[in-house]
Amino acid sequence: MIAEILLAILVLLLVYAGITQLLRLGRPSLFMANLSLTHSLAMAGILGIVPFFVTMEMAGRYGLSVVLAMAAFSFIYLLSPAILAPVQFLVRTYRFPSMSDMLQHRFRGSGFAKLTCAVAVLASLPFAVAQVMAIAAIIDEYIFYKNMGLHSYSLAILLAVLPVGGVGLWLAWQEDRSASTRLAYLATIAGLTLFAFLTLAVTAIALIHEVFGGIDELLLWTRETRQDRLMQRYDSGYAFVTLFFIASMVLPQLNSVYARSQLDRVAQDRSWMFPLLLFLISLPVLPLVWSGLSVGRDIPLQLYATLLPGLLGMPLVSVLIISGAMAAAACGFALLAVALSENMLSTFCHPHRQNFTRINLYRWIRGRKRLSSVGFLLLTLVAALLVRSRSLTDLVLVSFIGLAQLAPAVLATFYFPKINRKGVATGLSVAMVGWFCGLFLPLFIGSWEIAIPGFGSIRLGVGQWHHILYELLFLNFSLCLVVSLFSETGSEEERFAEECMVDSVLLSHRVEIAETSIADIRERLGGLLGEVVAAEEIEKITEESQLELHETRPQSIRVVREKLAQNLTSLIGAYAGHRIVEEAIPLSGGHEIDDLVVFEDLLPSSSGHLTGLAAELNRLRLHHRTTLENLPIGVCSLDTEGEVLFWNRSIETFTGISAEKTTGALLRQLPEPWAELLNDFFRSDDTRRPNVRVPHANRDQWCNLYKAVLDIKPSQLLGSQVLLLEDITDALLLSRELAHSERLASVGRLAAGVAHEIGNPVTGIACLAQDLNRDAIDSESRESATKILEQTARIADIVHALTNYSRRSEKADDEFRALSMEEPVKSAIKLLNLQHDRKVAFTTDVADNVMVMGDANQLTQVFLNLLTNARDASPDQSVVTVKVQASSERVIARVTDEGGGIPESIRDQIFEPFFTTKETGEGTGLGLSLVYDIIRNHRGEIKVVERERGNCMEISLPRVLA
Amino acid sequence: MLNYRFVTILLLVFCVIFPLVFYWINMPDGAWYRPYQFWFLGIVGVWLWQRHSGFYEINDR
Repeated sequence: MIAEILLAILVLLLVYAGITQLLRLGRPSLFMANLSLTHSLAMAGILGIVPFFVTMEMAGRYGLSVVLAMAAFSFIYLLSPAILAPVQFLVRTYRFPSMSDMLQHRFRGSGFAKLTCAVAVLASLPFAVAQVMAIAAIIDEYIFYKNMGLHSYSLAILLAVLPVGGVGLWLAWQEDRSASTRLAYLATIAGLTLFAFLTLAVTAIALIHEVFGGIDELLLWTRETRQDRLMQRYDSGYAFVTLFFIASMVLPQLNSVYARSQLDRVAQDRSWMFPLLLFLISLPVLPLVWSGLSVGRDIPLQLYATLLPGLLGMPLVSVLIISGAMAAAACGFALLAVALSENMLSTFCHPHRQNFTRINLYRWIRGRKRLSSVGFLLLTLVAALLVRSRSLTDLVLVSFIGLAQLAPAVLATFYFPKINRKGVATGLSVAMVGWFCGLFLPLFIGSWEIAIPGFGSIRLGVGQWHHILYELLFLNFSLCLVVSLFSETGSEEERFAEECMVDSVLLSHRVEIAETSIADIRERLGGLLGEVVAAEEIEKITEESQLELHETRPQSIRVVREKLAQNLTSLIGAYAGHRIVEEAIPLSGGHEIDDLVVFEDLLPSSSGHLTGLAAELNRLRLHHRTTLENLPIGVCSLDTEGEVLFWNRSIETFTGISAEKTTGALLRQLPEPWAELLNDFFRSDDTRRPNVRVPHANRDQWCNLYKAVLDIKPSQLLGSQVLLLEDITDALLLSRELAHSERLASVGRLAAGVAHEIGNPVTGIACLAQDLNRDAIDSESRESATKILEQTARIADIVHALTNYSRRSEKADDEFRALSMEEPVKSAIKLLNLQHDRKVAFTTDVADNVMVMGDANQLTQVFLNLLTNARDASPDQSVVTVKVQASSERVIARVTDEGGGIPESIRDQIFEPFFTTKETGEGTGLGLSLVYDIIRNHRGEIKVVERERGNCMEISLPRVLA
Repeated sequence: MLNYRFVTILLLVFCVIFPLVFYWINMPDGAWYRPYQFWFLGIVGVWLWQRHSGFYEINDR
């Protein structure tokens, strides 16, 4: 017998070592792949010794009510898509590590948190005692009673603490802060639970075959002995359903496991997987009880499953079932110890008052949790030694009834915003006093009676558990309701009550934060939590949110603040976490408003779930949003501090700054020149600024700025101003070009007048000079006459150029004809080749069938002027190239020389009339101006193309097909 | 604001479904495994529901 227990402990240790080895050898993927099953098994592990001991006793006492009780325990998860999904969302959003933190967040008050934590610890104590006592009962029966014929519970309890408390504490200590170790902890619990359940199933099958010979024989026996009818008792059935249903909502260890599963997929699978697991482990209950009844040995009902195999000479099965029971007890205790230590850490240890610059936060948390779990084990041991009741069912029932008193608080958190702290605290305190006197105390002193004057005496004890359950719940709910109705609720409590409602949208708060960077936050956090912890926490957030340390955008800082609060809440609780965040990232503004911008970003993913009016409103929102996005004018919405809330596509195009970079940034944080320009306008009282020049490296831009100030109450304030930015660059350049053309036209008219007025006297001077040249006797006079003739010839050339310039006619399209580009190019080169004064070669490369609509003479003039300029700029023996190419719509002609090129500083001026770089007397400065006019008249463009050497003039004309 | 869905579900469960189930499993000619049948049907129903509803997607933030 002793050997069986020792072997069972060995098997338990081997299984535990096997699971941890499996995780260490890099096989966590096994658990990751079945994450839902892992979480569901870990949750089923919460039941601890219940499926091994309590269900047997409950079946014997209350018949099939045990099935209803187990079904009720899983019922909340069957309803989870409707009830628990919003709750899970809240828990996930705030990352509450424990139920006390959640209740403290809702009801605001450290005193209230202490009350709920104390209730959780005290009410969980009988459940923890049951885990130890179950194993103690086996040890007592096997070692002391069978061998020595006496019971020694105290010694058995001390021995049972070793496997249950030892393995339980070891398991609890594996639980750490990082996600990987948390998963390993849950995976180990899940593995041990699976092992425990398998041993129960194996035992049930072995006993059915050993006792009855098979399932058919078992069913025959139940009919013959009418056991099937005897089991059809539903004594206290409704009380069981109520109690187990409520317990499934308020067990602290359930909350603890729940908080560790953040994935929707896990929650979705768990809604049927957890009930299915409970269903499966409830199946062996009746066969095991029937086996015990059939054998007829004098052993307690609760020990049927664990003792029968040993008594029937099945040592292997006996070792297995005892090790399975020990595994279940260890898991039950570990989960409870972890959950309660998390409760106590944030409630009683005050992490916000510690100086973490000298001590490591993570180590401090680990130390406090371990200390709490050891303290809870010692408390359990003392309670187990003192408790008089040997019924594990009684212990579990008392524990569940105590915890059930937290139900009004939990329900009010999610569903009843009008219930306040005073109401919950009053109901809970009175109910717990009733529970302590009526159920908890009788566990230690036995049943007792209390005499109430005029009411007679009332018997208190576990035997009256179902009456006490209903009475306490009624008292608790009634006091909670009445006190809440007749007491005032603080504004802060009201706000958080609304926020915790299951139908609350849970918007982020748009808090005003003093301008800072993530690096500054890390530094400040280092002063509170220590450098190492601060760096690790900030790194986690920046990696997750893809933010840089130099980030200063208020929106990003808000994200960091929110995530830091969540992470610290999961580490040290909501109260301490928020206190530290407030110190590290202080607020600068007084009021908080809902962050509708964040909410709008979330809408697309959930718009499929909107129905009715909400769906129609969302469609309207989308319409307005799309309209604003696609407006051809730049729109930028700003809050009171100048933070960009909206940045549409037009303003993106005009500024070249994407909405992703601007949204959430302050105007003064934008790249220059926009920061100064827009921030100055935002701060000013002006409502419009016309013709604002935006300096740009390549090409200046111009815009008109308009401003609309939104008149909304500060409490509802989201955007305070809307800036409109109208791009007028093209319009302004066009008007300048028009003015330029008009000026050229004036110059042309002036030139015509000057040519006419000068032409006549010059002709007269030339005639007189010719006469003088012919009639002069002396050579000196003839030489003077020749010089006069030369100068008049030059004046005539200038007058001729002026006349040409002034007479350039803007031919209409219908006067143009289709002509090959080869024609004007060749004509110009032919004319130039007539002059033999320069040794420059002309080469052409004209593509075939390149046709344009135009005037041949004018285009010849264009190439003549361009080639003349190219020739004049080129050194001797160099080549001037004319290359004509065509795309589907345009004809591109490039005249390239090997000269010195055109300096960038004068490129804007070369098409101005009378602008020339040639020596005086060499050029009139009208050639390129004439070219420019002709090309524009042909709906073309001319520009200087950048080259490393020489110059290239590029003409672009519309192409016509031959 | 009172959450009507939760209250409705609870009322439905405790005032309609459970009394009916209790009546059904307590019928004199009823088999002892009826509580298990009721429970298993509930699991299969939820399994089918959650496969097709996609209810949890609303919380995918």
